[in-house]
Amino acid sequence: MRLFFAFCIFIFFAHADMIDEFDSEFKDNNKSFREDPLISYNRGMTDFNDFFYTEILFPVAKGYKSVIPQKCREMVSNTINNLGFPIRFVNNLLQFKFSSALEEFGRFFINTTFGFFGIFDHAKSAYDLKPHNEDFGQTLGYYGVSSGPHIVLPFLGPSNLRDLIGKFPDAYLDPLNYISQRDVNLLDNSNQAYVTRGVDVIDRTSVYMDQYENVKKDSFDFYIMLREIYEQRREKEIAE
Amino acid sequence: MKRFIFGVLFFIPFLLVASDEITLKVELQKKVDYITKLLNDKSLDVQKRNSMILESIDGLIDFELMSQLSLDKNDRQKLNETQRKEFITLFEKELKDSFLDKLKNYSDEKIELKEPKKIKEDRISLPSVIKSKNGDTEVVFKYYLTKQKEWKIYDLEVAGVSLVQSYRTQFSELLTNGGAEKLLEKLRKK
Repeated sequence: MRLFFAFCIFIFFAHADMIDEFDSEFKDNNKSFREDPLISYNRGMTDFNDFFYTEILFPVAKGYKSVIPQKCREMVSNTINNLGFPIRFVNNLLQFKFSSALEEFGRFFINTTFGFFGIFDHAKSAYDLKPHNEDFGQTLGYYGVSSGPHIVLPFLGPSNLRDLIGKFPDAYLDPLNYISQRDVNLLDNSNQAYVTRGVDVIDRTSVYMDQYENVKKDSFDFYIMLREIYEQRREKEIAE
Repeated sequence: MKRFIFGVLFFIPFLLVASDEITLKVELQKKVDYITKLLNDKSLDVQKRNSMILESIDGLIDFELMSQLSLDKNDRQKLNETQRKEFITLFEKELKDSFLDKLKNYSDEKIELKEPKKIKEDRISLPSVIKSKNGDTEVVFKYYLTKQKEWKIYDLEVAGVSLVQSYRTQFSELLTNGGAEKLLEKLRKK
């Protein structure tokens, strides 16, 4: 009998040790909560965004998806993605990722010429040139700027202080923005910029809305899940 | 000459025994191929197919450990023994249901397994890419070595996001705000 108890205690402690060993691979949750000073606002904004997405944005995107065939939608995504080149190129350079910057340049050149202004991703299909998504938020992260508090932006969704600040330099480089102070503008006026941005949003929504619904279904605390996904993903992107 | 021959003979067994990493990759590929075959077999009744799929991954994914790890050290203390047992049972079921639910949307996605990496003596990380018409998603399978010297999956990183970590943070929040019973209630409802 005593041997049995001794065995049970041994198993208990051996098991407990094993779990402790795993614990070190994951984050201490107490820290996580202290680092979300805007949690009440973030929760409220997440609910607002959710209402906007499910009642307004997703129905429009569903309509877009059912009317416009897959191939056409791909052409729209490709064209818009191709125009993200300046942001990706500059931020790759700022992080000294020269071979990535070169690959981005190759993609832009090939897709704009042989891909008919970006409609076809010829660089990927013919030469397997891969995109390297860098933005100024990641550049700041690369230089050691910490994320700051998590902030959920109206309509745009999860972000954090560093990434929000990073949006401004990127906006200046974005060809799809109309900025009168800029010497070179692809578009003629702000209205064109709003329309293109609108199409971009609807197109991207048509791709990501199923994932959003899946995450909502799987989550126990939807806001926390979104926050975790965003912050973990950003950490991984910065480390790459 | 004799020493040279002896030296070569001595090393041959090491060459013939596949490393853990390679064995894992081969085994996971077999499972992936089997599950893909099941998903493509339209003649199978969905319930039957799902139970066959779960059976095939039973020894591969350590659902019980994943359930335990989804509570951090402090949170584990907030549940008594009965509550902990119920939590593990409910969450295991939730993980399996969620996995099967994802398979419902299967439409010819392909998984490409990449090179496994031995992180520690008892940890291997096996990266992969899921290629779908909407783009590629990286999934990393994280393995650990059990006391019985078997390799099992204890976490998945989807697009850089750890499944276990995401649940840990959510459950922590729920326990802080509502306590153990509220958490179990939420799980029971799912």
